[in-house]
Amino acid sequence: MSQEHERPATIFLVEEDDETRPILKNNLQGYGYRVLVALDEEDALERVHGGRIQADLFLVDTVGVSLEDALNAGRGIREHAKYDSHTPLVVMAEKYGADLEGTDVNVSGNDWITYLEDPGQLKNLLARLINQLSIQDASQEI
Amino acid sequence: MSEALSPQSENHLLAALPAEDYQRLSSHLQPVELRHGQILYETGGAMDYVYFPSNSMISLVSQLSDGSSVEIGIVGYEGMIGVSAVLGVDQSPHETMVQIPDGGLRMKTSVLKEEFRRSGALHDSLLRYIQMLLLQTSQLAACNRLHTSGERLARWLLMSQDRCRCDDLPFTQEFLAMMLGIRRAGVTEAALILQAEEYINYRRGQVKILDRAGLEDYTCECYRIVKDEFDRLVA
Repeated sequence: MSQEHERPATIFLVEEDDETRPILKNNLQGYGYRVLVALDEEDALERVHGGRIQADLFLVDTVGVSLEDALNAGRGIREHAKYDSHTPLVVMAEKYGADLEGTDVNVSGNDWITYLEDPGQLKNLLARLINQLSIQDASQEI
Repeated sequence: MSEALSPQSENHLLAALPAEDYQRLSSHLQPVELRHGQILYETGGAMDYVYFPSNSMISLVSQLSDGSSVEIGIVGYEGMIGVSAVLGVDQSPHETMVQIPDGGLRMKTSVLKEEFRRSGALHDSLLRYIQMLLLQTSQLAACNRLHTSGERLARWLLMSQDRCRCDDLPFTQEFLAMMLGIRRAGVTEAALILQAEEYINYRRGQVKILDRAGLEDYTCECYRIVKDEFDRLVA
């Protein structure tokens, strides 16, 4: 995580899988992030309503929907939270072929789909995106 | 394959046979290569041959109608594939897939049944092995329901290492997710914990066991329960 942040960066996590949620939250906290957790899209929309939360990145793992629907859900949650497309959105893919394994695809703006392969991949992607955000913030302040 | 086939030393069920019994069966045993991803039996498929693995590992996989699947049993050198044939079953109740390739021996199922009916040494060995497999299956059911993905991953890696007798395990994340019945993100996060503790190194579809004792401490009781029963009944 960037040292330029005065506060720990906050990740808004939407994790629908009951088994993955606690372990992912725990690992994210272990990296030094503050983690806000929503159980699903509906819960997320309720939590962020009216811009009630502060987040540096939205991380979404949905169950049983297409990647496009997951992306749209993530975008909707981000918009509902009164953040624009500069705030990173990361969607974790579930079903994909070997050709995509290990890749992080920038689909538009700051929207990403990660096709996980190695244990460190998500950690590295989040660190990179949040670090970029810090640099942008710093340059805007200058 | 790991080396020239020496079936009596590589497969435990065959190794335990008296020389006379093994001699009787040996002409019916054919060496086979068990390749990664090879399906030995489809769910509901015929079981024309039974298989005695050497250093390979074979998963018994339950497939559900929504396309998901989960491993319900593991077989390696300690046992055989197709043991339900001696119980009068002629169709495989689940898919049987080779996970770690190596060699083995196969025999016509009809020959195995005939030998079983003799009530000799193989008969007794197979009954003990069936009991072990029953325990393993029921323990895995409890484990999949009650224990964390990290504990289950550790247990699964230990069971795999026991069977292939090697430290490097060729398992992709997709495969681990399927075997453990968890999502890929869950596998990633569970592997991260084991890697952070330096029990394993996991990169690009290869798991290397670095600290077996650490994994044994970390995993749930299920690994030890199944291992102890195996040692008591079969080893």
